[in-house]
Amino acid sequence: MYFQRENYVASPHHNRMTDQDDFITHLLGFGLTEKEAHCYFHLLKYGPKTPSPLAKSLHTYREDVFRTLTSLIDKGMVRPSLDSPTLYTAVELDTALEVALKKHESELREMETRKRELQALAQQQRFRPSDEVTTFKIMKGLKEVLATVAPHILTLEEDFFAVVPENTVVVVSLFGINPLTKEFIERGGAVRILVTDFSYSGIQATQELIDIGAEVRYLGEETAIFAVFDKKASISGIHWELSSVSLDQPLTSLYTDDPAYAQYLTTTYEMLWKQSVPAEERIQELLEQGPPQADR
Amino acid sequence: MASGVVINGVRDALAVALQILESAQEELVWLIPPSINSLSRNYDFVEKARAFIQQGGASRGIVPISQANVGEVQMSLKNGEDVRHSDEVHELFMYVGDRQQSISAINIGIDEYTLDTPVTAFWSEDPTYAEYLLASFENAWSQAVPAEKRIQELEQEAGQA
Repeated sequence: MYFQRENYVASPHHNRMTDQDDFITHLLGFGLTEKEAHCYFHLLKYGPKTPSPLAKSLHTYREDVFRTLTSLIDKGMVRPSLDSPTLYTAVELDTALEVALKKHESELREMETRKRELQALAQQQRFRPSDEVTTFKIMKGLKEVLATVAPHILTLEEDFFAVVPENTVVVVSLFGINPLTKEFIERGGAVRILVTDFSYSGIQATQELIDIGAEVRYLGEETAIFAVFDKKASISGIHWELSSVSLDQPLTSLYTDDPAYAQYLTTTYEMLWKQSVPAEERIQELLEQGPPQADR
Repeated sequence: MASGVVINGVRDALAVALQILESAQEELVWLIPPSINSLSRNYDFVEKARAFIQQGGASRGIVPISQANVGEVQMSLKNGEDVRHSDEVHELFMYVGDRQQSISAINIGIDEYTLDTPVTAFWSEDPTYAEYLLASFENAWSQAVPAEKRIQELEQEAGQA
């Protein structure tokens, strides 16, 4: 423990507790998060409150303070009233710390169990007999990425999906990936593309993907770049700041045929897909806004 | 054979990170959101990181620092961890030990994680995968601000308010 049980003081007003910061630090040592510690301290010092004035005092928003209060109730450090509006009261310090300590110890025990279970699972997966040989390979340039993507699309059987920024959509359009994708779709394959963001200048390249039969959606948030082929092989990229359209652009990418990694990317992709909207909606929005002033 | 394991859930991801921390000998590197940093404190990460550093290990981490978590970061600094602040949107979150073991997850835009937040993470022992993560980390590290400087800024802001 960061703070030994016998060293804590029974009250924030006790002479050994020099100031609020010390008290908060000690609460952190009992497994409270900083938000929880501040919230508990405030209720202890100023008495019961409803979430709105509490949020104001803690300089945060109501939903945030409500989440913190829920967690403190769960930890046995705060009690809600039964009447409405609900008043939240700090549990007396000695009792609260005792409960927090027990809860902390039980969480640590649970974590130990989970750790052992996961270690056993990892061990099992690592030694599972399999014909598959997994490769992880780092690629350092756009040319290498495109040279890896093209043969994968040619040999695809079922599906291909990717999450990419606007500049990558432009690059694949210019470097001959779209005709391969079109041919795959015509063979009966499914292609889904999630564009993280695109501006007016990206409309044409995005529309081209829609026109060849890909399902394209708009995410509107930055995230990692990746593509998964037949839920087996994948390419992931970081910091693809493609400043110009050139095959010599340096970038860091990872190619792997690890099926577990493809599964991880697939699950993540489905979560992102749910957050997105059809690309046509974004295109419509951009067309209504018109080209940016500098482009006119 | 597969060289990684898919991890579902924040609690299991923390269990893996704890295992990485406990088995690391030389170096820990982490880039995590503040809410995960807060949750990790329930599982003795601070104490274990201190023991790791006392035994000669080095820990470097990036986390957004605000008034809400300044005390937590100060505890990490007191431990001897090298911490930096960044407000940038990071594409990946990661916890990497000795340039080999790692757990990572793609940022899918969740503002605040709880133990019940549905997440998918990837646990790997492949050094090439760790190298890939570290390339991302070093890029973020070079743009991040030392925690001490950020804390000073926050103290000044608080003083002015």
